[in-house]
Amino acid sequence: MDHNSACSHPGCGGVVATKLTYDYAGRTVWLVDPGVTIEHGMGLCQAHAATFRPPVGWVLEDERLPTIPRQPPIAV
Amino acid sequence: MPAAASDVVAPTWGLGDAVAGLAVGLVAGGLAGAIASGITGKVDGLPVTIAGLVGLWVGLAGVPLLAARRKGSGSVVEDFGMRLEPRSDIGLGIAVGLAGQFFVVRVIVDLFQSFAHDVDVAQQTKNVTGNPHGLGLVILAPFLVLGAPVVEELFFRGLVLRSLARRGGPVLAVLGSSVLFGLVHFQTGMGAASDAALMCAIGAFGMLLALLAVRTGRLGPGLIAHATFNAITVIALATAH
Repeated sequence: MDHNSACSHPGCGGVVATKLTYDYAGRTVWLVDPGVTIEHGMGLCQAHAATFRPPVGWVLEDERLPTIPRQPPIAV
Repeated sequence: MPAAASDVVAPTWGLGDAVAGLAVGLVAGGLAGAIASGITGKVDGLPVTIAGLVGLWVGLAGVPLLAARRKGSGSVVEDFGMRLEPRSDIGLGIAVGLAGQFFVVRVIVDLFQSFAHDVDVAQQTKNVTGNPHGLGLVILAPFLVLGAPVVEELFFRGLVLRSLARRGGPVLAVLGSSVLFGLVHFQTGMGAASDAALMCAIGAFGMLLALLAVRTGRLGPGLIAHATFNAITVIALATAH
């Protein structure tokens, strides 16, 4: 699946806000900003990136730059 | 010759008219949207969005106008306070509109996010507006910035709020009209927590608008606040593409 375009979570397809890559041998998962090029992994939308938890026994390295959450305006 | 006090007849419109307005609006909006959908062959898009809005407004604006004419003074200015005092209403309205969009909505969504991490209401604007750009946004903008504020203020803070106030006083009027405002804007599809957050946020903004109407006795400040609120969304849509 193209990890640049749509969230890889089954049934989601939301806009990619974070990329996830991993090293199986080292049991490490990295979360990186969407602009970072990765060789393998997947894209996650904002909601699924926020709820992502690594498998038991794996280490999570969050390398995303801190951002100010932006609530988009709504219309009534 | 001016009318004597005994000649002035109290309006007889009330909650029944509000229910009728809502029912007519929902049916007409659904029908108009379905017809537009049948013609264009698409379930969404600008023609469907605009047809649905116009149909909804037939009820939300038509019934208060009819109620004022048949059961009231004949004037929505007199019956529902549909008037604007530019010197005081514009500044106050803009301030409340900005506070609604950037503080009230944000606080409510943040509150829900503290319980459920996947709360995300970004889809709402797309659902309501069809996410237009270019000429589509130019066409839709007057509906959002002028049409919706005029029609919805007349209905929710005019007919509904004043009908409730006559029955149970200002507290019931503010609460009741705000809950109805939130419920009417309720939509599904973003997840239960996001749907609930959105409804509560819009209800809270409705409460601000209702307080303005009760406090000032007219709809002018709420009209400007509502227009400001939606103008921010139009600007966001225009700059997002």
